Amino acid sequence: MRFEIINEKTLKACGIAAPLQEAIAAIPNVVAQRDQAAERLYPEPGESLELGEDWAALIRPELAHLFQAAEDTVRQDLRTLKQSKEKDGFEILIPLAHLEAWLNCLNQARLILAEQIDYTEEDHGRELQLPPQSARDLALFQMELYGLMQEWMIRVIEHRDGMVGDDDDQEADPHAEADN
Amino acid sequence: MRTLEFRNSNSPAHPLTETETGVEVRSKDEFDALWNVVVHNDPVNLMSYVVMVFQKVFGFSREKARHHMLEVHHLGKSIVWSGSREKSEFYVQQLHSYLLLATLERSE
Repeated sequence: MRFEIINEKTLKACGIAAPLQEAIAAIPNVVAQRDQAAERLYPEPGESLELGEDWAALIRPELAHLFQAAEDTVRQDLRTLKQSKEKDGFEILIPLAHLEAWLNCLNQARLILAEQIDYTEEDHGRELQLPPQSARDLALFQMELYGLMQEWMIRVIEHRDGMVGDDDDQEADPHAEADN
Repeated sequence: MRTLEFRNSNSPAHPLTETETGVEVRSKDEFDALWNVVVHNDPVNLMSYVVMVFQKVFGFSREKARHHMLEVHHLGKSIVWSGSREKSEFYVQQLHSYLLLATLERSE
């Protein structure tokens, strides 16, 4: 899988193998299960009972709206997920202006999957067999893939918004291709 | 939406109360107290993501954002900001919108 910036406005992910394409296409289905991870997606703001009540009444609906808006943006962009003309896999076009929504949606998906499989620190970096041998391994694979996509989007955002400091000059240029 | 009324009170800070008109009142002491915004560790959020969020929400330098991220990672939590309750609530809401685990607590 490769990431390219085209026309300085669009992130193109290409060379996407079929298993990865299926996992990417499944993102909306994962985040649609948001209610299963409600405690994690809408955490308590503190120990005060009064604060919790206000938070549930006022803030939680705003967060829900934000999360839904991110999902809607990703659904829209996923319509561009298709077989490439070069027949070297699938590709998708993501406007740079949509990257924050993608980051949010991918994070929702990772957190929901983590709740579903009771993810712990021990699962981090575990070697996975492909194709996944179990539902749990599939979820771990999706979490890894979505995390990789997040890493690239973060790099693009940081360079776009000038968030990279002098001590980060050694970091890879997100405009360069990266193979997965 | 509830209306908040501010009043100068010589009595000790007391919990939220409602007047006859249904307006909630908080003591000035509660608003003047220092509050901490605390970010808690979780095994899912990427380190790079947490650094980016700290820079975007608080305007931290990359170095300061990394410092707090590593504090969260190694110590389980980090106090990322201290100040008024109103501002603390705003920051916690912002962090929740980025799906970080954050709480506000009265500073000791």
